[in-house]
Amino acid sequence: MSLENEIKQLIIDSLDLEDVSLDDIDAEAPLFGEGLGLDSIDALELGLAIKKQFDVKIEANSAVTKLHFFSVASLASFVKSQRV
Amino acid sequence: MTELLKSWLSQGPTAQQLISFNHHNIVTGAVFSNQVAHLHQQLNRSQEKRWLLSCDSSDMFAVGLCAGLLAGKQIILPANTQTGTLSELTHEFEGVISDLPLCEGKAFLRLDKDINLPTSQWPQSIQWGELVLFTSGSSGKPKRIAKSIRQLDAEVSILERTFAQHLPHCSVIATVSHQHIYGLLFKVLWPLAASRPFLSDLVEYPETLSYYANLFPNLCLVSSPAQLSRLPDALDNEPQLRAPSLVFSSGGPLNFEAAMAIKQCYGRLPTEVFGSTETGGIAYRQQHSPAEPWQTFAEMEIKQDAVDGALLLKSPYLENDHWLRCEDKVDIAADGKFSLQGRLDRIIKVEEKRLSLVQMESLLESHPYVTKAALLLLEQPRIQLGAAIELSQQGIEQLTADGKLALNNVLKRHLLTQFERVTLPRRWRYPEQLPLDFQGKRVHNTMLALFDIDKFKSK
Repeated sequence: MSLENEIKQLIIDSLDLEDVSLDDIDAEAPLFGEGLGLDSIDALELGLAIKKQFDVKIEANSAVTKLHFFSVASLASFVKSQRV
Repeated sequence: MTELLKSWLSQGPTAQQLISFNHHNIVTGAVFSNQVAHLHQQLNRSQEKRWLLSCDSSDMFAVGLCAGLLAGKQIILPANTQTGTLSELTHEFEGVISDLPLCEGKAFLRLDKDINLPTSQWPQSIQWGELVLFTSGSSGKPKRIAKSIRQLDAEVSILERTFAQHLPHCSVIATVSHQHIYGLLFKVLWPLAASRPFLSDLVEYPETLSYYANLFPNLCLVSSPAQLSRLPDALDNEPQLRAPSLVFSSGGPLNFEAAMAIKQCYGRLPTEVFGSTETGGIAYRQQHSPAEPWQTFAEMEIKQDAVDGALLLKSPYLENDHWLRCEDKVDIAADGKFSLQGRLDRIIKVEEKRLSLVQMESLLESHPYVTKAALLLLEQPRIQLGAAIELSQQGIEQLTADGKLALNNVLKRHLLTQFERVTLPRRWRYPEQLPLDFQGKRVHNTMLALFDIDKFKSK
């Protein structure tokens, strides 16, 4: 599975999203608010799930974190950048 | 320690009082006074009496709050700034104090951090203003709650008297918004009046929280079950080297396991506060054991409605000294401590956001796709709403054409005009008919079966 699909599957599973399949998630669309429509509690849970699955370090600076968590695509490049 | 807030508001901060901070800025009493004086002047010149106040940054919010109260204005705090909520409140205010122009056609005073202001004295007040908050009422209409300075002062003074010994010179940070009564009191009014600096930003992530915990030896954390129940996992359930000196939790019930997990990480139990927008704080506890009872704050009187067990309250935080009926069923022990036995109406909380199921159902039923809507609070896998919808002919056509996910999203967008995203139903069912028994009452178990999640998953 590609990294983007792996992240999509993690989003669906960890947030227990009903009725949403991999194809319903646009990798470039915003995850929060408009787009996939995740909320602030999802943000907390997704942060934890990403940290656990990919063993990445999330920064204390919330502006930077928000950029990383903007979309599936931005999350994928964040995870890749931490794998070097 | 009486009239803590009143005397602070009369005199203003000393030039040295540290009002607020964030990772790149601090606000001193001198700067704060100039900002308040500047806004106060503008408000004094204005005819408008009632001002909506909303701002993400707590220091600018505090400027608007102090200036408005000193200028004798009514300050309106909406529960959220969704467009539908604001238009529903439009008759309640003539002006907006904010960092953003929220409403067209109203007077607007912008809160601006970066302006250079002349040195000014703290404004003297001839007549105090008051605060007006809105919360969900059982009828489905927003309920208006006014708080005078006397009421707010009583609460701040008793908070200081109850907890000051646990709070040496500490800084205050919060994961909850100052737009609601809990954050307003614990993060803004109490710290201002007791000279404790607060973080002007809202803490959203555990990583940010740990950053400040490591920076400050004495920290008071104002938080809620939504954050606290998820925090221990983010801290790997390990004892932390640096931890807040005091953790407050309010807004909803914190379960015992979460309280224990916080103790494991931070070395102390959170102090939980029970109350509501109408009543302010009523009681507090630390959960040393499951079902730990609640201790009322000093100067409260409680008793129980003989008929249905509802909590009846007399409190100095209320407008008068009549008994106020709360829709919480309680059990009061001989020593005066009490335990909560659930709500008596259809007001519920999802992640500490209070909402009326009646209001959400009637908003759903106002949509052309919906004939009838019923909402149910589901407790697994996390507390969330399930929506069961009987569709109109138009709705059925939409479902056939675009599928379930698209229909869910249409209805969610409709709800977003009045409700915050966190509270929206996460599970949607479109049965041909809502289950009713012959008295026309929805059958709870049949409803629950619609959302039988495990069954759904195993198929």
